[in-house]
Amino acid sequence: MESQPTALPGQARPAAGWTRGAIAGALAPIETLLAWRRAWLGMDKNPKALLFVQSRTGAILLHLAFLGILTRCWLDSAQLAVAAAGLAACFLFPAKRIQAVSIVGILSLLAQPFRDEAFERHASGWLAQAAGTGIDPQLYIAAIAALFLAAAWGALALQDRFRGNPVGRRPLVAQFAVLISLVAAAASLPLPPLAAAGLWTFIGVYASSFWLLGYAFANLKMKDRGSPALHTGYLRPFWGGDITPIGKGMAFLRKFEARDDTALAATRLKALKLLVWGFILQKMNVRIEIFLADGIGLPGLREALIAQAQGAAVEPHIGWAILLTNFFTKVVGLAATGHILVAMVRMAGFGIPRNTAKPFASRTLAEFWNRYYYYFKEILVDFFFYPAFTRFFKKSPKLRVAFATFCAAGVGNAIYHFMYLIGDIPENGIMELLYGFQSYLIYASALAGGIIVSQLNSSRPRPEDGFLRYEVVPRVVVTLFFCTLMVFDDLRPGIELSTRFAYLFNLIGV
Amino acid sequence: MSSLQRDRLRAIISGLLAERGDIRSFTDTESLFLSGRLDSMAATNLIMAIEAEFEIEVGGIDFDVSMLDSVEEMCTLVS
Repeated sequence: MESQPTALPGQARPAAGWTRGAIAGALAPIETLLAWRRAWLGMDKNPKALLFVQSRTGAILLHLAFLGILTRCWLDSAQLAVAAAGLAACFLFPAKRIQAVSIVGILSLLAQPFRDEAFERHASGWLAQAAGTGIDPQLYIAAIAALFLAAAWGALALQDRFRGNPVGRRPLVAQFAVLISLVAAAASLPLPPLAAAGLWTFIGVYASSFWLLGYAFANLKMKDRGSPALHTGYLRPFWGGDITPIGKGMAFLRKFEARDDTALAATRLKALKLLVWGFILQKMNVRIEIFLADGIGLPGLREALIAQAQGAAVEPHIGWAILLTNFFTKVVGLAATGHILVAMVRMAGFGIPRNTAKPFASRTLAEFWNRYYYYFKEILVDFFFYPAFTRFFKKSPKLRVAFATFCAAGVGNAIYHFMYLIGDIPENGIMELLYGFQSYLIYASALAGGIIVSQLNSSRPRPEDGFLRYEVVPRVVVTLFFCTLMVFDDLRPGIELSTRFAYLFNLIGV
Repeated sequence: MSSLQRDRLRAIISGLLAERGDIRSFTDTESLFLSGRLDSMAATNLIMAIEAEFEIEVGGIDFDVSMLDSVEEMCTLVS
């Protein structure tokens, strides 16, 4: 006879007809899954796994598995080929991986001169104008990329030699001056089509590597700085990405380089874990986007804004749903891409921090800013925040923090994003682009304001405030702030500011 | 730098780490910023604390946060 299970104090009583054995049986697959999950997450600390990965067979199998998953992550064939070459070079020459990354970086820049899709698109348009010259467009672009590499190497060598010189001491200002001069020349001079195509292509390659070049200049000021030629290979590392430099420059990578075989094995295992997580997030995000669009027919934010402009505003609750889902999928998509790129850097032997780390756990705006897009935030901090913070308003701590934050999250952020639009100048003209950019200027200003308040606010959430005020309310506030800001997070022209404000007021029923 | 000043510097760093829920110990040569234990906001607090404590001006055109990455590097900067 089967005895009825008895609930212990504090335990829920099992449903009638369920025995302990049956419950244990039902839970067994979950427990097995959880045990597998624990083993997977802990494998970079597992001595057996670490030993296996240090063996030649283990290392080869790990690389093959890594590349196999990478092929499923929607990289194009050129990106995959460059990534495979970079990983192979770091695998074959682990003691020379700094040099290996630099050499493959040169090939990477020649194979993929642009980091921005807009430049890719426009390059074919510029070259079409120069048709009939008998020049192969791909060779022409590669030649311009080679010219850029030579110019960058020359500039780095000059800075290395004359770093006490006023220009050498302010390389970023010089970089901007050169970029603005080139754009002004290309936009205003009556150049023949082939020369115009060449100049715009050069600007595209330069803008694509702008921040990495900035880090190379900054690295050359350090004690253990490496040669200008070595830094030239870091203007397009093999792991790719857009214009945001994942892994910053060579000096940052050196800090995180695996120093021995065990550390290298652990870094590679962490790389595999992160790649798998990035892959899962990427696929999950696409499923969610398809479900939202096709499953429940939720329009995208831009569609909703266009409808608003046409007098067909969505219901407020739909408006909020659009913002929340847009925010969620944007953050998850960014995390997925960042994880895949950081995984490649780690596989090469550099245990750098993640690009995105638990952003939805943030309790303050400043914390979210730090967690959701680390390498973009680092650009703003390194090139805008610190220079302002260490020079201005030293006698007034609050004003000092506020001004430096405005320089980074406001000014630097706007400049960084406007650089994405440079490729559109020949087609749209700078005035139209600036007009369309006013929405992003509002976004950047509001973001800077929010982060300044968040940084200066001395009353931070504490565990003793209680579950609701510590765990829930701060996170809701952070989410609502960034969701609301998304109404203005748009670089492209076509939607008037009045429409965006109307959408915003519609959310609160006004 | 005197051992008293070094201890004071370590106390400031411990406070910043504790604010971030990090109560692990750290050596004088351990990376604090590049390892991710401290962030850029902590750097601003640290710079202001160092300036107040040692009556110096941190920064200038060549400033880089890696100059503050460990207690040793901070001592070099201050001395």
